[in-house]
Amino acid sequence: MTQVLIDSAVRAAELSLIAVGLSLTWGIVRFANVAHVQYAPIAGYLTYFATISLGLGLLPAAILAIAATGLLGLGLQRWFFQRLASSGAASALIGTLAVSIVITAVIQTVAGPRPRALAVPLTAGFTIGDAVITRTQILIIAITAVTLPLFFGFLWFSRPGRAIRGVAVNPQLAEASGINTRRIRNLVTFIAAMLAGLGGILLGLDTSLDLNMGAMLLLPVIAATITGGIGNPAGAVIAATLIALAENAALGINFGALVGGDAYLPVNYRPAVGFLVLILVLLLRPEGIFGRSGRRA
Amino acid sequence: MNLRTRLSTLAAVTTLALLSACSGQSATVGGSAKEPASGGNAAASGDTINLGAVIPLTGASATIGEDQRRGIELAVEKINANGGVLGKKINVIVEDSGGTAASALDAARKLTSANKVPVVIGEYSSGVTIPLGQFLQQQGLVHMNVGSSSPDVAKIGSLSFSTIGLDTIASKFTAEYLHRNGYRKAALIAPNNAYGSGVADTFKAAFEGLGGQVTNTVLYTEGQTDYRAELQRLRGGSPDVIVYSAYGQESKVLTSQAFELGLSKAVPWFAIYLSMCTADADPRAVEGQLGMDVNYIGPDGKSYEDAYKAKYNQAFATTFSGYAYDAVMMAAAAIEKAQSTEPQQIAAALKEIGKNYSGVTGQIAFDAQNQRSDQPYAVLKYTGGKLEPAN
Amino acid sequence: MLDFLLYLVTVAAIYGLLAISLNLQAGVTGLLNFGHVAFFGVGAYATGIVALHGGHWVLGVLVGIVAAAVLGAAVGRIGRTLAADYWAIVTLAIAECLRLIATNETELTGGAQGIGGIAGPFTGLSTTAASIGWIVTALGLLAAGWWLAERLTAIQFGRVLRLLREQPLLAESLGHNVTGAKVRLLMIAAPIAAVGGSVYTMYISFIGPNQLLPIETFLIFTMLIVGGMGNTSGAILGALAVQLVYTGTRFIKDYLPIPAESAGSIRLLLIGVMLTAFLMFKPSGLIPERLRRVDARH
Repeated sequence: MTQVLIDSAVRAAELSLIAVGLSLTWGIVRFANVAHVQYAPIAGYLTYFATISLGLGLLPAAILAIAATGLLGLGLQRWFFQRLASSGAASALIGTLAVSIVITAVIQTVAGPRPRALAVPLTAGFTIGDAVITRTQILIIAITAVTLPLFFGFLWFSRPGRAIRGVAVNPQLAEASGINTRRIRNLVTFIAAMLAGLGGILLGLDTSLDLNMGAMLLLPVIAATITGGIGNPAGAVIAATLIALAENAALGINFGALVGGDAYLPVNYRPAVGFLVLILVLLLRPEGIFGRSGRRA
Repeated sequence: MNLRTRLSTLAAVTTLALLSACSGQSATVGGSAKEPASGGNAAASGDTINLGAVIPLTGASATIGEDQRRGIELAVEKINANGGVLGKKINVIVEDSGGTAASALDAARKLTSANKVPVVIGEYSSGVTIPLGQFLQQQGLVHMNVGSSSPDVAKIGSLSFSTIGLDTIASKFTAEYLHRNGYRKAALIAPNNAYGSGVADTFKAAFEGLGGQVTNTVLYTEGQTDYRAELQRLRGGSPDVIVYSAYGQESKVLTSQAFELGLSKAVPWFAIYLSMCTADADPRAVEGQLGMDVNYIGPDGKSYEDAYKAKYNQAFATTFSGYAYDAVMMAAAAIEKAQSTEPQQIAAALKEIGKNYSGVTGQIAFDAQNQRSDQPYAVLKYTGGKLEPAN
Repeated sequence: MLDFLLYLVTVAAIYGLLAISLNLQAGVTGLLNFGHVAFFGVGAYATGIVALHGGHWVLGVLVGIVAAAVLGAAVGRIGRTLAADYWAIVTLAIAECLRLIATNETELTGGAQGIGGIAGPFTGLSTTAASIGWIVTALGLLAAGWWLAERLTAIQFGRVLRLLREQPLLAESLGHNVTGAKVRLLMIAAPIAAVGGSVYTMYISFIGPNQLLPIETFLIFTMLIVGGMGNTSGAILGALAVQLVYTGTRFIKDYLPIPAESAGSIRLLLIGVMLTAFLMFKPSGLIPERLRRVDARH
């Protein structure tokens, strides 16, 4: 049980950082950006190369990488996605898809197809009861526990934060009351990309940097975003936690009571949990558990 | 669009088609990919005899694929230094399988249609070797397996030969060793593919046949970065040993995470093909680990080892280069014996040679299904970054 | 070399079928099916599974067609109240679920290993005869698919579909049964892709779950964007163009000093760049859709 909680907390942390950004940007730009999840491996690989080629320590490399990722996200939004968005949500969606493919290909060309590990010394984990938690996992939970409140504090108590929320709820009214929606869009994209980058670095520390990191994150992150309600980052965090719990609980439960003997869900079906949540939410309540306006056909 | 645009599009597309069609040259073994390709795109045209190889230069098994390429390279050099085959130079065209069956088949198609090779060597993973071999069998070409060990490889067909022993022998050896040393409850983890399920099935049969018990079998999905859930499953039933087999990258993640979870200290681990499992692992995670592996014996084994060290400035990266080396040597010998590059005749000559061949990997004798009937194995221990014989 | 050319054209024709199917969904009706590969997969695996259990290939193809139609209908009903991009995500999730099942249910689908040695109509013939047989079959099916798609879009039903794409609410208010139309369209488009899947599987005699990855769907979308969304000839041209780039890159390493490792990523990069370039500069594709003139006199 403890292990399920630990694993869920780590997974929830990683998913939240990425989903929070997606939720906010999706609410503002009004189209799904499937390239968003690619900011995670980008930041991860940039960190890796900064440590190897520039000889930086892990922390400065990570900060550099996160900033660079934010700028990249900003650039893509300003010069590519925004242009496509004027032709409709569908066009923009396919455009983000194209960018996604290019990013994966570039990473593969530069870094090669084999996974890379960020230089973290291998240490045994700490035992808590019958569960184990590693140093890195503690770090991940701690960093997220600090970052997310900072982010929400910014969103709710600062002027730019309030402007962002205004644009997310009603862009025309926000524009009319003098808010520069274009600047807000850019700010949001920048922050969202940085958060996703942080999530990717943490994920890389926990496991390793892999080409498919983005692809593996896509559906769970979208599930968390939609379930929490698009444009509702707090909802995204709650949804991410629920999905993480569901994934790990589904694997941890012994269904032996039902079918006799020992019966566990095959580990390979873990991603299916996220998929099912997504499908169910989209069918039954597409505006999400905490969402406001429903988007129907 | 107007007629002119249509015509220019058609022209562009046709040019692309011609460009991609007019290739008769491929990357060759005998140097890095940057060297100029040697000519010839038919099996015995000009002054070169071309053979083909499909190996994993990318993907989880890239380290091993590279080592296989080295074995091929050394064999080609040796043969050409000794006068070649049928008076001509031999050349092996190496294609990347990408570690997947679909792209291996794509590569094989190119080798067989565009380069017209009579023999294709490959691959490494049973999940790729089997469809590859089946395709070659359908095309009437000779297939040489140099890395896969699933028992299903034996069923590919009469034109398929293996220079490496299959799992039935490896698992039996493992089971016997463990039983002899007092282990009675084993958990097993292996990749979810033909190789892994072959290992799982053959080990279970052998171990339970000796009176042991397999508490849990976990087949992990390849290519993931997190295997903690799978590792947790292995604890169930309190095994006294964990038997595992994993390719390069996944092995690194598995062993590292097992270390972090404290699993590698709690229960001893035993590797099937220790060199493969530790090729990319973090040394701290596998220090002191025991495992079985193929053993080099044979009059030519030492000179091969020396040639390898001289050319690549390191000891064997994995234990798999020798099988690729032996395959090229045997294929060349078969062509020489048959005095022909016709696949059927090469196959017949291979059968003859394979009755008793001294390879760098030991004595090779093919059984009725052209599989290596005996394989020397050893139990090794990972100590300080090297594999030493365990006592 | 001739053999390899035949192979190229055969595979391009099969992709052409898949592109025609996706064009009917996304190009004509505005159904962004990000899980399109699932229809291909259903046909491919039906053929493989039937072969694995000793059945005749014709049975495999038929099972594939029926299964695809059922899946198409189900997916169409699911989409009834969802906006285009949401539906895209649902279809992606469903396709991924199917891929997971294919990877793990080893007894049924061969698992991650896939199913090999699948026999088809030309198994046992000489290589050349089989190649010719396959290219004739593939081109024949492509022609049939083209004809079917063109007929479909020329009749009244086609006009309704285009209306659905542009103005779904208007279509609803005019009394059209939107969901019913979508379901019917999918029940026609899905089997086309399934037949492509069956043919592909029998041609290379192998099917595995790695051929059901999302990138395959994205590849076909690239074909549509390059060729021109909304018209059938565009779909075929796009399939040919992308297939040429895709296969051509295997030969690039023979001319340029590129390490063998990178050939795969270069291929992917070229596809991504092609898609991006067309989206930016020529979104209507090589063959833009000809909008029919509306005749005022009805």
